[in-house]
Amino acid sequence: MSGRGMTTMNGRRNIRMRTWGAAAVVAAVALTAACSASKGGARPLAGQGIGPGALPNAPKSSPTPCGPSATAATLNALPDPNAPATPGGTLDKIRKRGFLIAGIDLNTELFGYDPQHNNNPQGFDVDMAKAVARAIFGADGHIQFRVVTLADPKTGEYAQLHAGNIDLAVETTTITCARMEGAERMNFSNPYYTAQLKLLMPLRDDGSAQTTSLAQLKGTGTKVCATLNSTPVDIIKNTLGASAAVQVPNALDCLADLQQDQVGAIYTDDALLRGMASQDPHVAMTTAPGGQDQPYGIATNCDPKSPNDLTPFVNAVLANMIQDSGPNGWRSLFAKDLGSQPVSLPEIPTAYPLGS
Amino acid sequence: MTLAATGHPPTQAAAAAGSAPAVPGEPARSARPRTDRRLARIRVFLAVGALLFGAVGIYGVQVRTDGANDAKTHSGILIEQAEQIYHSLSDADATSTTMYLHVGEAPANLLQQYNTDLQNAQAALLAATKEAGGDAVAVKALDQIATQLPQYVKLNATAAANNLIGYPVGFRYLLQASNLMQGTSATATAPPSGILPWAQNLTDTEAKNLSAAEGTAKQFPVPMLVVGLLLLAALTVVQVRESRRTNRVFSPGLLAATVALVVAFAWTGVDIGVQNGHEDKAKSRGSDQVSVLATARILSLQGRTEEMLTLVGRGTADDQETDYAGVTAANGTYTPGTEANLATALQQAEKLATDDTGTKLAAAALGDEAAWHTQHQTLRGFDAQNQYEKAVDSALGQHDFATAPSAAKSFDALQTDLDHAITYAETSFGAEAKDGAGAVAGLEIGLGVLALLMAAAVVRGLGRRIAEYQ
Repeated sequence: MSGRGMTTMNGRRNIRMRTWGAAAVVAAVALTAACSASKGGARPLAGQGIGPGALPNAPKSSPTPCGPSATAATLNALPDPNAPATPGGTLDKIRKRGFLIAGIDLNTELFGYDPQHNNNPQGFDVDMAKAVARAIFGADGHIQFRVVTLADPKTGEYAQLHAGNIDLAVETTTITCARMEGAERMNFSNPYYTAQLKLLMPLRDDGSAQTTSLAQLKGTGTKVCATLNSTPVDIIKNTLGASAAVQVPNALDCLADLQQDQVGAIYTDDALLRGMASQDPHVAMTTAPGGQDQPYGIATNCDPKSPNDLTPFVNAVLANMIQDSGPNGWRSLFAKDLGSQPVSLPEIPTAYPLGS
Repeated sequence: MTLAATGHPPTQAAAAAGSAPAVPGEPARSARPRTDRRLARIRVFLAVGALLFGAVGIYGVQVRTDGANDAKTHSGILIEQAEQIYHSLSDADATSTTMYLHVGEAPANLLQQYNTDLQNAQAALLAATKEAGGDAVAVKALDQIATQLPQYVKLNATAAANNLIGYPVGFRYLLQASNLMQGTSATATAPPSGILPWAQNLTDTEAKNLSAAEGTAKQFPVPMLVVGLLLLAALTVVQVRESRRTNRVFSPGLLAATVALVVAFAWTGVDIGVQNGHEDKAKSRGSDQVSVLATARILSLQGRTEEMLTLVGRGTADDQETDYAGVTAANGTYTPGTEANLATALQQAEKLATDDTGTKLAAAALGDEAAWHTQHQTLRGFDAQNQYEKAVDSALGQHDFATAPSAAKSFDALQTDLDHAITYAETSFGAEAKDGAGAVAGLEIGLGVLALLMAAAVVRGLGRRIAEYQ
């Protein structure tokens, strides 16, 4: 697996770099770093008969810090959809199949949802997946969606990627070092959206958003809702005490609980909060600054034995989209799907969240 | 009592006479004085014994019928109402999740069914509360159901309202409603939670009471037997002694009393045997059958709810499918899911059936259950292969599946089978229970008449003998 291998794939070497940051420089390093078996030591390799979820007792070592190099491998240029792909690679497999299989979530309003219940998924995540398919085939319509339960140990993104049921997963998944280096590791693209932890609360009497931050809720006895076992739960507990945290199976349960007055606030990614606010005109994100950045990435399978040419390809697609000011560009899709103009472009952080 | 009273005056007279000299004209063979007084006492003793036998006998029969009937009626009504609550609410839950899967306004027939289910549940709740009275366990369970039901209805209404606008948060309400309805069963350390487990709790408790009542209905009347045997012994002793003492071999009165006693014994024995037979049959044919079929119906509705929630959840409610299909743990232990339990219940119903019709009805249900399971798996396959609309169409029996075999059609067929089978089993139970109650009809009166006859015969028979001494 090497950077050279990637560039020879399309047979053209001297094409202008479509990257943001100095990503391509570290491409080769990134690929090994993102998906290395050696780093895992005694951890069994994929493809050795160890199925997903088969390591229930694998020791959970704390993740080591990781930075831009972890996701940065990027093609210098997108290959021509009509040119043959590297035989045996992921792209080759997808081309031969005739369509891309994208794992999505259908329960996140604005990002991945099926507003008409007719299997016509919409949203920002869905548009990202469609953009990748369009770049692979040079035309629309070459995509199939599979609903993949977020972070489910048995049926989640890792399991589905690992089993080869999906080619990539776009479902508001935060890029973390743990997800790139842990036992259930995946490859991640560069960020396509940078979420922030924000607080959602009922509007003030005058109809304006509250200004409260999480820390300001201390001593008010307000219950704050978050998804079971998520990072926000830890933050709520640390900031307000364990009794303030209300944990629910699905983030959207928080909205139902807020509407029933069982919690006073919801603390999670602004991406999810946007979707909640779109379903209830009486709530809004507070104007207080958000917490830690949560860069969302497109996940692909991590198999150290076979070269993954999909992640660098996805990175090139993203880089193109971010520069594209047309209707299929990143900004236009953001405005169309999320209902407001982006204030900034997605950035590759100096360090990714560690995760757990 | 009047007869017993007639026995008294001589005794009292004798006692009042105290140490009065012996009445002349005593039979020569009797060396002892006051034989008449002794006979008078024996007469009273035997007459009272005969009446006591009658009273104890009637009481014994009443314990079997009245006492058992009271418990049966109370527990029976509560079980019936609890099962009505359970069935109506399970159906409401399956229906509300089905309505949710429809895009836009819910179809009128489903809405009607949901409303009827809630009305039936309310009516049963009222009837059960009226019957519960001082039954603390029943009152607690009914109270829990009554308090949570409005919350369930509210959650469902909010779910439907959100769904109509297309807000996904509606599904979270639907799931909360369903979780509140299905709840978690009681464990050794924790009481049940949710609505249906409380209905189950009520059924279980009252079933125990009913089983105890059925034991009472089959209770052997021991006091009657003891009094009767003592009386028989007394009659025999008196007759033997009298025949030795006098020249007469038989005392017609005492002999008649003995015959009446034997008749009373025989009558009671036969009736009890017949009644026990009917009770056993009622249990095996009816209540056991009804109970296992009712369980199957509940499981089928639960399975349907799981089928719907998995579909509506679009990947966020896959645990519902696990509940349906069961799960194999890492160590290989298989925990059966709703579907497997349903199949088991139906197989049991087929085994319990005591006649051809019962067997056929259970077999039909088993067939449709298998068909539904096959359709369910096909439907899951559609969903997994990115053919969500096809999966939904099969679940709802619409579009391409309006006439073709579908999960909806098999499920509906199964419901019809179960309704038929339950009605049939209930009819069998009713008939046997009625025959059982009819078997002892007349026994109480018979025992009363025989007891009076015995007392009269004793009084009259010994009265003559006493007269001889006077």
